[in-house]
Amino acid sequence: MKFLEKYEFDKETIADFLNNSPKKMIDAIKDNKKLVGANIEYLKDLGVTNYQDIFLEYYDMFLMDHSNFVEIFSKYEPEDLIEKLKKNMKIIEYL
Amino acid sequence: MTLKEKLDLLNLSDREKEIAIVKNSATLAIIDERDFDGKLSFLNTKDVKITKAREIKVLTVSLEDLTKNFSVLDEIHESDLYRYEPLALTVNVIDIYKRIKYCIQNNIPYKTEKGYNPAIYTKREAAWKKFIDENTMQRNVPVNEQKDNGNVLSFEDVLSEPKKEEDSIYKIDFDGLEMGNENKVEETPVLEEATRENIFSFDNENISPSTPTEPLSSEDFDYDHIKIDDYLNSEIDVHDMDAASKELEQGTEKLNNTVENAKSAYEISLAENLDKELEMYNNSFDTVSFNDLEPESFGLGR
Repeated sequence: MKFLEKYEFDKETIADFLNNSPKKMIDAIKDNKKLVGANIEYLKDLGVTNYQDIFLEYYDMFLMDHSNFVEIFSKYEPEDLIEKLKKNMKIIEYL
Repeated sequence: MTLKEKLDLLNLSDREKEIAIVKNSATLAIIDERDFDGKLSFLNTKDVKITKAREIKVLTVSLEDLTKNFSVLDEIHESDLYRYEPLALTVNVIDIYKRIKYCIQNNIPYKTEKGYNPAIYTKREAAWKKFIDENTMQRNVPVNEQKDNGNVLSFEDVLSEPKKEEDSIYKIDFDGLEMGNENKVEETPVLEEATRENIFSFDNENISPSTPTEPLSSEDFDYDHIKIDDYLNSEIDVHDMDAASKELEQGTEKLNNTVENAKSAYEISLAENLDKELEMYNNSFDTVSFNDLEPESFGLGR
């Protein structure tokens, strides 16, 4: 899961994630790290400040096809989206 | 077993199924169909319901681990946590066990009638440390205070508490944990929501597990008058948001353009007028601001 360091995840956070996620999901993320990385990078480049928390909570969503993943967030004005996600990332379930 | 067959076995609403198709298809594909039924049966016997698309990943946990998780928390009579929050089944049960024990020993409120504090099952160790720091600081008691100086037990004291071998189905090997304020802790919005007074204390009174509380009446939340911004900014906890999500289900079909994407993966029969509506919607679609989304479109507001 070292590839997460490229997106500024610290070692402690990665360790927490590995310690608290089902093995099958971890294997799936490792097998699709390019896709997962692309989705993380999209959120990071969009300016979402708590993208790491979002990944830790909704990591299975990052296995989505990249174009579908982008489409979920691109519907909204970035500034609005960033602010709302920062206040309560659970709104991701309603996007 | 196809993805659709797996979905049909879950007790999801139509809206949650649509969300699962778009956001959780990969998770559904990962779930081993050989023990899919077995896991669902086990969870049913434990009265754990998978009702949200985001909870589907619970089924990627092995049946052995699901059983172990319940066994460990049954020892301290706290397996209700999984009924309140099925996603806690994906978190390391030993961490949850240690955290609950610490809260009990130090009389830190960690649950109410509505559910458990997310700090108990957070993935982030830093978030848990922040929670106990906040609760310990409120009482002006250092975290690592010695047992002799008061009622506060340090984490090491909890870990070293003798435990009978025959009482433990799984031998629990506690590692010493360093506690304290020396490490800077990142802010986690979810935890911030969970530890605010208005969720875990009512009328400025501290709530402990033994303190009876009256549930909020429905008059306290008049969802028809809450606009979308107020809804997103309101101090509503997860369980109230679940109640609000039922309101969101009404009138969201027009905004949902995910069926077009789902068609390639599933044979989903739709009413002809819905296809036309979606096509019109997609063709006229432009950047949408949150402020442009009228509350009515989410079934909220007047």
